Amino acid sequence: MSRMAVLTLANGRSTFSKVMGFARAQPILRAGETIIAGGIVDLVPAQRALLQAGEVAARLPGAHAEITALTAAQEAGFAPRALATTRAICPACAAVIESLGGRLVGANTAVFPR
Amino acid sequence: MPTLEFDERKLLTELEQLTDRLRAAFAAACAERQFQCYVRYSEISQNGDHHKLARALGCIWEDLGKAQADHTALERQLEVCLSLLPNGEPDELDDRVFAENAVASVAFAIRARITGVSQEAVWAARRAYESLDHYVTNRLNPTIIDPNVEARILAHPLVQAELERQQVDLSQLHAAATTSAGESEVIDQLHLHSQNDAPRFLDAKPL
Repeated sequence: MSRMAVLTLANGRSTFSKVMGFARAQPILRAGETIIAGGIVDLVPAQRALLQAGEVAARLPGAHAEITALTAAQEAGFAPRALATTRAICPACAAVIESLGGRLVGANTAVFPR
Repeated sequence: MPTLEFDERKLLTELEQLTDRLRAAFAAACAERQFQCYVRYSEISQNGDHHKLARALGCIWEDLGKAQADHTALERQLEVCLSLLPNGEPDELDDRVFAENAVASVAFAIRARITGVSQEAVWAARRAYESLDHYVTNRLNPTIIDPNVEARILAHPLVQAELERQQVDLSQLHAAATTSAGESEVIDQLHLHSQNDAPRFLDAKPL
């Protein structure tokens, strides 16, 4: 990526990751909500403003989007159901997904069978 | 007092009503206020060169003192700005995010002056707002940014202060555009005010 692209893509730079939450009720998340997360740099206000009903932004500075979303789900006591990313899931994130019972079903997707 | 929001569409509409020169001045003020963020980054990380960024900022303000933009000088400074962007992936744990936003705002201000495109000025303002959102969010340190947290971030005095400064700047520029006050005078005032506000941009206050 050129440096110019860093400027022009400044608000589209994040990798998005979704985790479908379910199970126990928690104060900060509800069953069926979708967690949206950015990679390395968390979502900026313009990105958060695009979230729709049932979607919440997760935050974990410096972490990949997958880890950010999974951590938020775990901390809220939710088991993940499915995860999708805009960039290919890296080996380190794949290992974390598998350690949580997930299964990669594509370069950008994983499911968590119950 | 109602909580101010960063309303990009409204800002764009208001900037469209200004002359090319005044809207570039608005962008330059947004960039000027963030300058100390880059100084801090370059001093701590030993990367970048804040003297070069200072010269780029100086070049914009000097150019804004003239009725016509000097495209050659500005384009040279735009290249310098791009070379000053922090390398690699931004890391939220250091000052690179603030530094990147500071340089980007200078670049957007230069582009606003060269092209006269209002969106460039909006982007300069957006980067200032994003830096403060980032700073406040890091201090609050939430795992989930739900609507309640979102409202708390927006209402934080540092975020509100920048949104208010942007609004005041716009009001002054609009007043200059509709009265006999010279553009150069209001640009000089804006420059001075933005320099004075710069040290307070990320001024840490208890949450």
